[in-house]
Amino acid sequence: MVRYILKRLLLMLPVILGVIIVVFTLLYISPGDAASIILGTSYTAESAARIRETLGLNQPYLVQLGKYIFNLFRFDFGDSWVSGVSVSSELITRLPRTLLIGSLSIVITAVFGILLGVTAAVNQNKWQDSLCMVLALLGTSLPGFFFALLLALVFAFTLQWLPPYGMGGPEYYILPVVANALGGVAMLARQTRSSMLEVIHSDFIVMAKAKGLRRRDIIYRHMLPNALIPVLTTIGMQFAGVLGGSIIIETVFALPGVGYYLVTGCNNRDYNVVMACTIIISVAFSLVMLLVDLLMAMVDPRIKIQFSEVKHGRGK
Amino acid sequence: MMKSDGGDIFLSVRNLTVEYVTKQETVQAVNSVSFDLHKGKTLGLVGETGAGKTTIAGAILGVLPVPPAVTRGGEILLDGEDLMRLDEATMCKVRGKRVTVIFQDPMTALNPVMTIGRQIAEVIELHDAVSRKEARVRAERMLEMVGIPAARYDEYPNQFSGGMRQRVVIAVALACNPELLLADEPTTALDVTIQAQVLDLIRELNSAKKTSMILITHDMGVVMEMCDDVAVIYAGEIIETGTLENIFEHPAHPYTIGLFGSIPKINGDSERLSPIAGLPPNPADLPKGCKFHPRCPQAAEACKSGEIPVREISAGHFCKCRGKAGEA
Amino acid sequence: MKKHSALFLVLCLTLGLCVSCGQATSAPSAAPSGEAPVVETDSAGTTLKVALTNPFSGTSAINISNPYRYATFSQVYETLIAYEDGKYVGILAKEWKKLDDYTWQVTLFDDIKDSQGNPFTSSDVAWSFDGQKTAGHVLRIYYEFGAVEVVDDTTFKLTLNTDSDGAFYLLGVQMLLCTQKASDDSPDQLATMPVGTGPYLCTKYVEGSSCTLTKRSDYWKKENLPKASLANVDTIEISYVPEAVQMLGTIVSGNVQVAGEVDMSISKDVDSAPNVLTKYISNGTYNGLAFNMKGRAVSDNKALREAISYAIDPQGLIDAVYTGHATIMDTYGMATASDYNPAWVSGISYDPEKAKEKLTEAGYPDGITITLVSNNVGEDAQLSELIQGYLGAAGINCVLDYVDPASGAARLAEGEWDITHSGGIGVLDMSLFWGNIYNKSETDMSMYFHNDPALYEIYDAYKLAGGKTAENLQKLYEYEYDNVTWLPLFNKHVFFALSGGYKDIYLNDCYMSLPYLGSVTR
Repeated sequence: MVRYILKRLLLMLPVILGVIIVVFTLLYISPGDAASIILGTSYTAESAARIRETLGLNQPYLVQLGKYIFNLFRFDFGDSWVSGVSVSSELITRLPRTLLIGSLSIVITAVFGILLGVTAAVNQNKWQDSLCMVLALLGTSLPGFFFALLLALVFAFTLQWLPPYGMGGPEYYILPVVANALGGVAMLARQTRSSMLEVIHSDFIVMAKAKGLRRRDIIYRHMLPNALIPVLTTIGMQFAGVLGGSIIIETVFALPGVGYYLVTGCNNRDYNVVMACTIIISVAFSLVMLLVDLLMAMVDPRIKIQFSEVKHGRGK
Repeated sequence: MMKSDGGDIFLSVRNLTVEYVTKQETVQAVNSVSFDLHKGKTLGLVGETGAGKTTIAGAILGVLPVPPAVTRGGEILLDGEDLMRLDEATMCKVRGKRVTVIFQDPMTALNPVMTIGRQIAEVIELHDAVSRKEARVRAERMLEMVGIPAARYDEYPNQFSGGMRQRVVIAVALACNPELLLADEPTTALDVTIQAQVLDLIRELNSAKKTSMILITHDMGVVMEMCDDVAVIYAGEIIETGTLENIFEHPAHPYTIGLFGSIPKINGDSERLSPIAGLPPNPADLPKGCKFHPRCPQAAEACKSGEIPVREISAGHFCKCRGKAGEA
Repeated sequence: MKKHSALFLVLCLTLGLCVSCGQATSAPSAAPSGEAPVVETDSAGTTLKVALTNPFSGTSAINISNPYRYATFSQVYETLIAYEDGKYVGILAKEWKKLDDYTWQVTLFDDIKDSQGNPFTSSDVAWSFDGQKTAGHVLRIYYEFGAVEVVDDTTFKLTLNTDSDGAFYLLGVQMLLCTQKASDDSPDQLATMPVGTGPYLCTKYVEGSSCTLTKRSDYWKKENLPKASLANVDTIEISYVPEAVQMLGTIVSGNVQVAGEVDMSISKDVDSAPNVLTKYISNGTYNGLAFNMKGRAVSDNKALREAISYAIDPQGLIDAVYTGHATIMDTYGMATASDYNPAWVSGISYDPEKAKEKLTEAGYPDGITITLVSNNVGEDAQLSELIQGYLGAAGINCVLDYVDPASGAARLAEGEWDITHSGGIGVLDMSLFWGNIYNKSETDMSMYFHNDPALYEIYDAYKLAGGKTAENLQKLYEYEYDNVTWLPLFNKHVFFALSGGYKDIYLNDCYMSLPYLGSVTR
């Protein structure tokens, strides 16, 4: 098992390297001149040339790429040329915020998605099923930023229960987390519902009933553990969605995290910022997928067997 | 309706009728079925696939999938108590403890993500109010009893073959010493050598505990090995009941005769099998009168309508037929 | 199942309709009392809550390109001079005079101390200016900076690369200064906590989110305080709200007393909100229409340029895109320029009939197709579409060619376009105004491909040392008046919202109309 984890971690490296090269190249070839953006209305050819020289934009592609990767090994992501502040120091303060919101969002998504899905599946074709699926439909259809603004309007400005934006204690995180969780809930609910329905009609569920187990016990002890296994993978993939969604959420709720940093970096052609944020997000996502795979291996005995030593041989 | 002398009647099914109702059609799975089972005896429920045997078993336990399935009437008297009148909570106490099931397909009957030992211990914990540790001890004993080393308690179903899994299912079924065991084609999915082992095992355990059993099967060979009494089902109706000798030596109903005729005999001189002509009827659209009349070589005009009476051919041997029935 | 789903969906739709009908187009009635509360003074002192649009990184005085960073810390750091009510007043500088064409002498006040007690002297000025230069900085004006020569603790000489007065004033007004000692004492050169000489000090700064400024009790300037040095409130709490709807909500609900810059998308709602005043600068920025002066139909055809100019209605543009928050610009130059002459009118106004006449005169009685290049975002795109509409009404078929803002300059340099519209911020002298239009690049042509020898004769004379005379400027103006190579359109207002009983705040019309937060008054 340990060997498997190490192998997977090692395999992550070429993936990250690939991401770095692809993003770097895309930024390199995309039209748009960092110098014009930086100068804005005070653009002249001379000052533009001066800026390009300072930022090393005149060097050949491979030299720039090589320098960047070399610096990465020293954990030096460079400086933002808009503000002059070191990107790594920015990330150190911003990353925990984004990850915190992301993790909380995933938890909420998981809880509500699974709850809706189970309720729908267990009451298949009754009104509870319809209600849950309509709620899921609304969740998919409502755009994230719209829902975020709606939440701010209702809970912050009208009811005044929660602060509309900013950072601070736990109450500042409630609206952003809920807004971010919405889209994921829909997909997860549908996934859980279909997964549960597959399980509901299984023979071993009839057997569980034949044992005399009560309905509640059957659902939680027999149906759910089986139904949730494919759902776990979905939750892992949701994490990517949550990280992406953080861009909108952070802008609407004025939370300075990696998402907002990435957006302003893109607008400003701030290459160092864009590269660093992309790399961080890729690493985070890869780690989460690895975690999900390991979790599945732990939870699903059919997979677990492939890793543990077979002590008894194939029983006959 | 059907009585026999000797032995007390443990299970009595009276006029059980079950339909599967969907928007498109209504399937009549079980039509006013009645039979008795004596304590400690094994009743073989014989019939083709789709005749309604599994539905009867499901109805006794109350595990039929309820939205399509509708029970239209009847009584199921277990030791005098009507199971159909019990509420869910009380019925849960009956299932797994007094009445248990062995399923047909061992590959899917077990929860893939729970250890086999735990699946046995679960039912013990549920009904016998013992501690977890005690339940484990008893589960291990059950494993040994069905021929699986207790050390494999913590393994998962996918680490076992079909035959071994069926043994686990048997262990679950017998863990709480049931009074009535419903075995639904327990060896159909297994190969012949394993089949013999499993049947031996069941017979051993039953005789040790004096368990009554309903053995559902379409295999006459198994019936002969295991059963004391036999009931033959066709199109959701019991068309003949009797002791093993009655049915095997003096089959009365044309269908039963046809069944025996269609079994290949190793020293017979026929070159081809002689199946029963025609196909089983569509349960959504059953024929009027005798359900078998379209295929019956002895069908008469009177068979096409009306309620077919049940006739007692000899002591304890009944047949639902208008025809000349069982001279031999 | 389907019936239930349909029912629920219909319920949701009906609910949504009812709610939205109730709201109509009015601003969300947020605060329960309906009125923005008046800020009260209590024993803890007054607190001013401010919402600014964009967050930023870094708190040092160096390398500031984000206007909101400037607005936040212009109460903490100070500049040499400020421009208030039409004249220059000294903040750090007591006196200044021009010694020769390129050199100025400045005398600082005595006893300037920053919030850590460090004295501020000429060497700090030299250090700050050098620091800006080595930071490789961004604002064009810094490239005019030559050197600082320290004479004594309170006197220094500032040498520029140009003889324009405006350059000196621009540097003096824009450059935030701090003491070298404070920067050296700070673990990160003041990157996360600013220390300056201004009337406020920063007590809390959460990067990207909020900033709290507290009035200094030991502010060195005691008398004759200009507006930039005022500290009318004890505490200023700033938060950064990038999302326009959130900004609107926070203004209307009275959570903040000063908010800006107000985005056009919510300007109508802010205007109509009860108990909210708006404060703006009318010459914050300017927008104009430029013609491609080489190789196109418009390049050699003055009548055609006039036709295009008469066809456009600047008031229509203002009403549609800026909800009235702009003023028609009908002169060359802006009032903030030190050498501005209000007589420099453009002589062109909206006249569709005349446009058609001119079009015939130009030789295109049946119309002509031209290309307009512009940014593809927000207000720029809206302006382009409206201009296209106006030109179409006059018989000129205008094709829109959108570019990403980052590629704008490169696209223009390619040629193959006829008109473009662009803007600039307020300038401190006309050399910068004309320079934006006429300055030649490495390819020996201006951004708009001006190549008329007569023009450059006048312009070069103006640019020479000693050439920035009213006479030469008048010649330039006359050239433009006669040739219509650039059409002034409007001055966009940059505006801020005030509430909570505050009636006025001073906006810096020399630098992006940023507010001096401490100058709020009731």
